Amino acid sequence: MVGIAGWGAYVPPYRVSTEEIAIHWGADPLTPLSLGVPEKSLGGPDEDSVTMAWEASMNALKRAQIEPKDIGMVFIGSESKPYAVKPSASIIADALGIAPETMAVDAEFACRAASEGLRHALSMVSKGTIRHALIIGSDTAQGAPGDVLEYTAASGAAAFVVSNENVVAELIDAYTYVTDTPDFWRRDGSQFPMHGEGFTGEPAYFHHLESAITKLLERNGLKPKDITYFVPHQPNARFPAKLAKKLGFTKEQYLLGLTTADIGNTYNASAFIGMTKVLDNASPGDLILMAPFGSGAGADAYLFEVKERIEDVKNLAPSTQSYIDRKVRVDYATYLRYRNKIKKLVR
Amino acid sequence: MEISPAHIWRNKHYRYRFEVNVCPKCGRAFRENVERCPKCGERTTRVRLPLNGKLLSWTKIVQVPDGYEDFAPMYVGLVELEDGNRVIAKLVDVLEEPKEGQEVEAVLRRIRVDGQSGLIEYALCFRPS
Repeated sequence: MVGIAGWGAYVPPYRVSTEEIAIHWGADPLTPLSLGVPEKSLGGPDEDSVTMAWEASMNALKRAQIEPKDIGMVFIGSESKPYAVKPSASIIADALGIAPETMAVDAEFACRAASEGLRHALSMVSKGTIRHALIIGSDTAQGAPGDVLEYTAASGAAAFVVSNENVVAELIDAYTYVTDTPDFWRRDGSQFPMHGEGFTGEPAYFHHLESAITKLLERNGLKPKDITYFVPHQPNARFPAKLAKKLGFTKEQYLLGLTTADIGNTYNASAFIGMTKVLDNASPGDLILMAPFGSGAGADAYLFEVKERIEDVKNLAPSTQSYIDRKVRVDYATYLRYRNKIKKLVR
Repeated sequence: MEISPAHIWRNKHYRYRFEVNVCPKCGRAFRENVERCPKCGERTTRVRLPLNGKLLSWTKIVQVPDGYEDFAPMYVGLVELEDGNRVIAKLVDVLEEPKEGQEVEAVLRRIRVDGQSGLIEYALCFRPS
């Protein structure tokens, strides 16, 4: 049986108030609150998508109880790579003691690059091409100063070890739905992404996720009420709630994994961090439907069944909630400095 | 170029994984890539140091060197690891003044950045655990 053997999250300790961001730009301070994101996480000046990926991966490896050198693929999805050319995956593989006998991939598909990796890993491990894989979603998400994205774009990482051994969540089925939909993009050399405002909703987020989730449920003969936890991509807290209502999921099913309401949208780690929090709390027999989405656009829907081993390994690494609770507020100017949006001109 | 590729490559075993070369005869541990112990000539073996320890002493650097401007002020600590080895490393996530004797754990962080187009140097640093 193939599935997730270990899971781990990382959220940096710093938070900035989204109301303060709105006030700074003379915008309506109720706007970020209407998105359901009162504050968002940001990495310190010494953090980036590689360092956050390292810590999330350490936590996933502790829970998987698998030797790093036995990992056959390190796959990271990120929109905020420290280098345009030079892989993050090789830094992570070397720092974790996985290199040199491994594949190492950096992928890009907006917020679902890491999820593409999860699909690859589940397939490659089940076919026996590799024994285990490490899949990471990590982003210090960019939002241009003054853009509405700035209210939600946050920093965080989540990692999964995929294996046939030590499984805590067995894969039942997965389905992917992809089309060319220009809802959100960043051109080569541009510092910040652009987006199609309202166009990011219906034709992009909702259409792709509804299509993927409906098909997955249909072909497994399931109804939304059969699912224990529903964890969709969460660009803000409003979209997932609307999606859940449209599909027929209840608050009891989606609120546990709605981490964007606490820390903002961590892009490639968005649904993944929600999934790590759900696994921290899940019981054997639970059915989890995780559905990452990436602009451009595509959605994956995964069905996992939680196994007995989960109870033995939950406490081998810090819980996602412990990272969410470990926080210190910084002001908007500190946020701009930490996220490299303003530079010291005198050196 | 401030940070040379060779510098990062040569130091990564220690910077990334706290691996040191230990002499099986005299027990001395070396951060550097020494194949034989400079003291007694024995062939060294690679050992990985623990990632947890306690802070023995620390200092704060406000006037930081070139390449470290983004990280000012910088804290540097002397840490005694669980196995008794002592290492000097950067302290991170310093939200309140560090205390001698406090428990610390190693995390991978950026320690130096070479302008807008040069290399980024990563290393294990310590934060309060």
